[in-house]
Amino acid sequence: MNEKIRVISELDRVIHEPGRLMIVSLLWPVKECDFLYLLNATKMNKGNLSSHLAKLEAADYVKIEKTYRGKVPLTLLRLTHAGSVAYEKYRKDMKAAF
Amino acid sequence: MGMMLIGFGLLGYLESILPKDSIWRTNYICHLIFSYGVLVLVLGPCYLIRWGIKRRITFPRTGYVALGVGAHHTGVNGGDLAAKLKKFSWVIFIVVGGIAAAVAAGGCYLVWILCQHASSTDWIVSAGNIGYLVFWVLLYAFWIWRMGSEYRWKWLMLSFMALGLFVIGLSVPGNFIEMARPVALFVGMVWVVSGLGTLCSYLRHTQPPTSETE
Repeated sequence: MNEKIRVISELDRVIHEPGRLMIVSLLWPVKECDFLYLLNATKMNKGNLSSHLAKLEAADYVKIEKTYRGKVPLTLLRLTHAGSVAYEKYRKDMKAAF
Repeated sequence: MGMMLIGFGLLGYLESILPKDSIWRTNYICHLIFSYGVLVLVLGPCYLIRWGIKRRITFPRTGYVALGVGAHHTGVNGGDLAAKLKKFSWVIFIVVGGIAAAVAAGGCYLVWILCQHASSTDWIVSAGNIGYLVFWVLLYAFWIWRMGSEYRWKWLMLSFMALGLFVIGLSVPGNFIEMARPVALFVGMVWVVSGLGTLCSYLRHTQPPTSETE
């Protein structure tokens, strides 16, 4: 039992933070989404969301693509393969721990 | 879904008014062209309207999301369903049970009425027709349940649909083909009105963001 619990200390801390966990959980089942979708789904403010996305991008877990829809700026977000693998490992570790 | 049913209903009516020796009926290829032509004429504009609504209304308000790779192996959808089952309240259970009981009672009554007018071997056809009507009620009920508690008003639409199908079943007894056309049109219209209600509710509860600073 103790060995299983020790898995918790090895969890990926980039994903473990609740805000980022929410973002990755939302991105995992979809192909891509925009910033506004995550803003609505997470109910975070723009600054918080941008900050979490920047950390996920730095860890190469999320790909951020800035583009335009007509004349309106559009930020498209996608989970990378590394992000997907990390998220699946995180889930597996959590299940193993509890 | 609603417009597709309306398309099928219209197709049935248009086929019924074609002369029996018409090339659109007798020639297999022409019949296919006619059938697909009607469906494309009904469904094509609907596809464009749906695309326009997404692009002009929903994306600017609540964002864009593309479902795709990953959805099938995540178990997320299954998780949602399990969570809903867990939260299934007794109130909804009683409402659904009441509606199901009313539909079943109505169905039994319809079978009894139809059996009065039909020969003894026609009860299978009558039961098939009733099953067809009940199928639409149950499908719509499942649809509403999946949409969640925000759309409780749709249970009223379900009652209306059940009542309408009951009336159709009474007024067009016996012939499945004749019954299928008004049923498709009616269920399609209920579905479209229900969808418009959802859109109005969405517009009331959401506002486009004022500025874009990401």
